Amino acid sequence: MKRLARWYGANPLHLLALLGCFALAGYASAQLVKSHPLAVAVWFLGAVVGHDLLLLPLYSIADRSALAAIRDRSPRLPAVPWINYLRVPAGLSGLLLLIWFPLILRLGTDYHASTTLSPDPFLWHWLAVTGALFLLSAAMLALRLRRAPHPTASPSTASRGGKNRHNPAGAPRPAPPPATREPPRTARQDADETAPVRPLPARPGADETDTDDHGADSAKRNPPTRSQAASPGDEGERPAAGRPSSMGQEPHDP
Amino acid sequence: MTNARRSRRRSVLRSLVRRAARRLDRLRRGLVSSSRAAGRRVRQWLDRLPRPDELPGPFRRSFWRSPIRGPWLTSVLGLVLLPGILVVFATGLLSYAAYNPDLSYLNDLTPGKGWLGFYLFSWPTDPAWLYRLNQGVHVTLGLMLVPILLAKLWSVLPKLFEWPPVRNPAHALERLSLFLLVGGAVFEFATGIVNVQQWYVFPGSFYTLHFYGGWVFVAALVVHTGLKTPTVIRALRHGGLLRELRTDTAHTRPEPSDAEGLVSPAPAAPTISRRGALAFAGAGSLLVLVLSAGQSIGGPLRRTAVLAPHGQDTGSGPLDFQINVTAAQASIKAAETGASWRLTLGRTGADPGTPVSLTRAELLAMPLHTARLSINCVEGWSTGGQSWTGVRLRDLARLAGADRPASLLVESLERGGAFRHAVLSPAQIMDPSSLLALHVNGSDLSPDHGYPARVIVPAAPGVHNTKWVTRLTFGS
Repeated sequence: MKRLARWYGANPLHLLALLGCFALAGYASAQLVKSHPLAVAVWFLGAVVGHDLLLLPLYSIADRSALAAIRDRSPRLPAVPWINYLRVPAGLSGLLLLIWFPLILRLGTDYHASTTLSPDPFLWHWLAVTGALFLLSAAMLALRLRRAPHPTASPSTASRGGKNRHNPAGAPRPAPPPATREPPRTARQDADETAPVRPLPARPGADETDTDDHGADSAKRNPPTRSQAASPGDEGERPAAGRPSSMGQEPHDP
Repeated sequence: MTNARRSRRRSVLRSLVRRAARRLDRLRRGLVSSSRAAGRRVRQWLDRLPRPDELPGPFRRSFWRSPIRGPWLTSVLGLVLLPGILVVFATGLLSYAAYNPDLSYLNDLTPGKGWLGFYLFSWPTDPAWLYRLNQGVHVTLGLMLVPILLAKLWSVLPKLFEWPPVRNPAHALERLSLFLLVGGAVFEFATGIVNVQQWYVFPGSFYTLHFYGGWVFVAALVVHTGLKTPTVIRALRHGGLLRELRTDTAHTRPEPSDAEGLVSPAPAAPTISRRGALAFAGAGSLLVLVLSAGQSIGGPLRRTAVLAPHGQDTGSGPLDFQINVTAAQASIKAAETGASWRLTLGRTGADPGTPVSLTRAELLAMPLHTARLSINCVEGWSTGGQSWTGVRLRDLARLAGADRPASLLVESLERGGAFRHAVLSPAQIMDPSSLLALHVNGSDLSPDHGYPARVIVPAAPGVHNTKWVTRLTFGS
């Protein structure tokens, strides 16, 4: 018995539960595939492939591209976690499209014939809701920016931060709260400027990358978790894990 | 019996037992060595597989960078999703029961159901809002679970690219059950969502697919829940539910690496906290609720359902309420519903008698009753309460000579479609609000609302309120 369990790889109860599952699922699928076995199987498989290998990669790539594109373009980004002000309205709008695309794209040909309702408004409604979501998000970001401390002095200094290496206090800044232990902003920009080609560090700000010593520095001060401890510097590209997100110098709450 | 004989017999027995034991032992050893050999072969095969760090893309664990992925987030999403799905499953089974499938094969849209279509009770007519609530919850909650399901699937995606793909038989079976779980979930949500939008792209009858697909999904879900409960308890005990919910992005840390392989070995810095991710999914649910519940609630709130199929305002006239099949679509000709139209009342049984034929004027001369009822579709929308006036079904039963009818077969002028007929239960026939309606909101029925006469029964699924009725046959 023990040997069998070892060969199987789990408790015999595990086997029993799974066999029960397959019995019930098999019984149901025997009815399910009665009329169009191949088409039903294609739908089932298509459901998994469509989600796991199409939808999810698509929105992940969109998310990372947004992060990367804006990070590389604008060194003058505000020091607040702006990505979520883009991510949330885009995600919600995408969710509505995902659910209601047959109506929005007028795929159900009988809709008007059977309900006498117009198939026209759905596209406009979706666009209007999308617009409203982005507007609302923009308004909230604007409010946030007003409250946030202003970014570094002049844009030119910030964008050419490389020359400012030894003058980290290029502009008066509010003192960071004790929770966020940041290297001074210009130094971080330096790091970014000197390493322009980086594989997508999924970070909100343009200026949020760390050199190794910063990472080590922060790791020293923030006791690392097991996973961090296990993998310091395993990849040069890796920004220091677990360091407080440096988005701005104020504690924030998305 | 002498002692010598007894001892001889004993020794023979003993030798037999010994021989059997030896044989068993040899057999066992053979089995063990062959299973060991098989195990060795499997291990050799596994050793020949490339190691995870030599693999391309998603098979490399460091490919997955999100610092919030881990057992905690997956567990919380699972805990939100599970009760929601159980409610949707229960309301789905109740909706199946609402068709009274045991009454007649005509009512059962899931033929060959066997044990799965077990049927516990006759669907009640009181409270009248029962089916409206049931379907409103089934469809709206189902839609609201979409963002939670997406988040849950996102949180476990690295598991799809586990390496080695199969570690042992237990792992292989569990992964197969996960295929049923994910396939079943997406299949159920997808068929339901396209069906309410009348985009009939699925292969076969919606009822059959959605019903059996639901059982496949739930079979896998029950096992998954059972197998993962310890993981959930461990994750929440370790991460602390409230502690993590109080943590903002700046203080969000990756979880310690886990046996499940969800935690990234090379996490990026967080761009959103775990509670932020949960709020994101929750905001999706809330948005879907706000933009679709109006079609079930009706009244002035209907217009808030701007993306739902029955969220459009139809006007304020007596006949301006939602429909789902027009007379033109059902090929109902004006000649059939004009002066020549007759309602035929019949009964089955040992003495069927002669059927009674009634004109519309004769029906209008009978005692008329008014009931305020809504039509509630399986697709989740409702017409909202309308004032229906007509003859009680129980009066028509008496007229047909069936004082205690066991069933009522309602037939429509429609020529095709699964709902050109329906069979009603005794409770539905005898309810004082169950009518053969001739008027609605003080006006004659319109062709699209079922002129010359339609059935209206409290708490019945919308399609059992048959339009363009031509014959009523009471069973005895």
